[in-house]
Amino acid sequence: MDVSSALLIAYVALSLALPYLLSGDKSLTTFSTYVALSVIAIVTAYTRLKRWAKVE
Amino acid sequence: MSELVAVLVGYLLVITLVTLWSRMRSKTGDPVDYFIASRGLTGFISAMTYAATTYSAFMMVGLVGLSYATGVGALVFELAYLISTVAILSTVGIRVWEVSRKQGYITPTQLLREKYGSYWTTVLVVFMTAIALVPYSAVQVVGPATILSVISRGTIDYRTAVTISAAIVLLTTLTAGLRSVAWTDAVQGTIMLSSAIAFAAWLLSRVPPESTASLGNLELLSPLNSFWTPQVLIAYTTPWIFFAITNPQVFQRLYLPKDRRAYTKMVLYFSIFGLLYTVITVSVGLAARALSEAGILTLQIDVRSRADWNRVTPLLLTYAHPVLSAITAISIISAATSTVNSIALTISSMVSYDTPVPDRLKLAVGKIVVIAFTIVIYVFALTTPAFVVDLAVASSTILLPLLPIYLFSIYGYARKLPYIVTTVTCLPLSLYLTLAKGVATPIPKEALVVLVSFSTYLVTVLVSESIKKIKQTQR
Repeated sequence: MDVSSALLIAYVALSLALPYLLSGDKSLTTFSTYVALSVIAIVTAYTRLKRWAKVE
Repeated sequence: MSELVAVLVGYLLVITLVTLWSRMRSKTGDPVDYFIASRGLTGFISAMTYAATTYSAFMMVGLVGLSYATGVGALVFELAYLISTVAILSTVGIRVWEVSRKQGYITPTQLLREKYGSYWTTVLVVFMTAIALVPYSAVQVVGPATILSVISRGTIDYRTAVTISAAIVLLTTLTAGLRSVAWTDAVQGTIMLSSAIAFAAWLLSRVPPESTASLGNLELLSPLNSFWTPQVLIAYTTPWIFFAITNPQVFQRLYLPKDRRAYTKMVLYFSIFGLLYTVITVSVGLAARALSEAGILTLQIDVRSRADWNRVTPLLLTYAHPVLSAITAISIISAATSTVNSIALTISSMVSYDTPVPDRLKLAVGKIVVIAFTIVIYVFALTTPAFVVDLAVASSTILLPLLPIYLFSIYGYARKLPYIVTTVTCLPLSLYLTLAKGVATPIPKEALVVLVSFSTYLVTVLVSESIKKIKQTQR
């Protein structure tokens, strides 16, 4: 398994684990944390696919 | 009212023109072109059809209501889906794309049939998929039709609204198959996103800054609260994080990009669409709640009654400017029909290619299935029997046993007996578990279905391999 695949799986695990870490939050922290996590996952996925697309 | 009719007529005109234009680009009489557009879509069109297919009327109706009633946990659930889908598309998805081009697959179940070599088990998979997705499609039409009849104050009655939705499904699927579906999906996806942005901007501009505190005090900004318990979060997210693999209408979309660059662009554009659309719809729900708590809007929603949650968007539309209200209502019809036409075409392709249909009749049978599918959802949408509603809610869970089956076939671990055993036992089990009332399970039943399906497959592999070894030793 390459690094980007492992990172993507880690982001999925983190997205499921974060509610427990952020529970009790009364501000917009959860909202912004999940948006940031999604952006990071998208950038990682795109970087991986760009590398894959170059093989052709 | 006149604004709604004008927007609706304009929308139907655009959809018709785009459908006819895509027909000019299609290869008439070629089933491969009809069902998967000859695997020749650009990245942008692939992304838009993926987004419009996966994001249904649930977003602007169900998710807005869920966010309104339960808070930011709804964002966690929906973004967990997006993150997992992006992860699947950039790992498993590229293998699916490569295998489908190499082997010339047209349907998702064709991959199962050829990798596992069991014809009748695949027929069962096709049948169970239809059981899961036909009611889901029927319920898709119900929400937008209700909204249209409410905001037109009965001028466009419920039956007319359902008829319009069914007509759009027939027009876009029968005219040029996937080409017309994909191109109209692109138009409908654009309407969905742009109207959601406009609707959210209107609503958020009315929220006083200090009202965030009221959401915090109601525990609506906490990801875990009295509604979003760990069990509920697992039950909601489990079917969705595997949706890209288990649901054939989105799986088949992985076959469509014309080359690797198009595939890469598909994932990028879909991700951006998904992130924006999710953040916007959840913001609409939270903003509506803040406005309601501040007394600026009087929505009269009983948050303890789940049936009331779906009333949030229709009630919000009654406060918006008539043109904004009309465009948003049309965007919800777009979301529903763009999902339903994709499901109709995918199921028709599965029936044509993965049940006993002669080659010369594949196209004709596919079109007959589309018509039959639309008639069934039309009748179900008008009558909405209780079993259809129950099945629609459970659709993604019913399909969860397909997760190990697809994964093992994609990664080269396809074994015939485990496929047969997992399909024959786990698909009916998941159907039973999701429909049976009052069945207590030690963990959420969605997670249980996944665990049991993987275990069944792996245990059958071990047992069949052991028997094979014993037989070889005896010889």
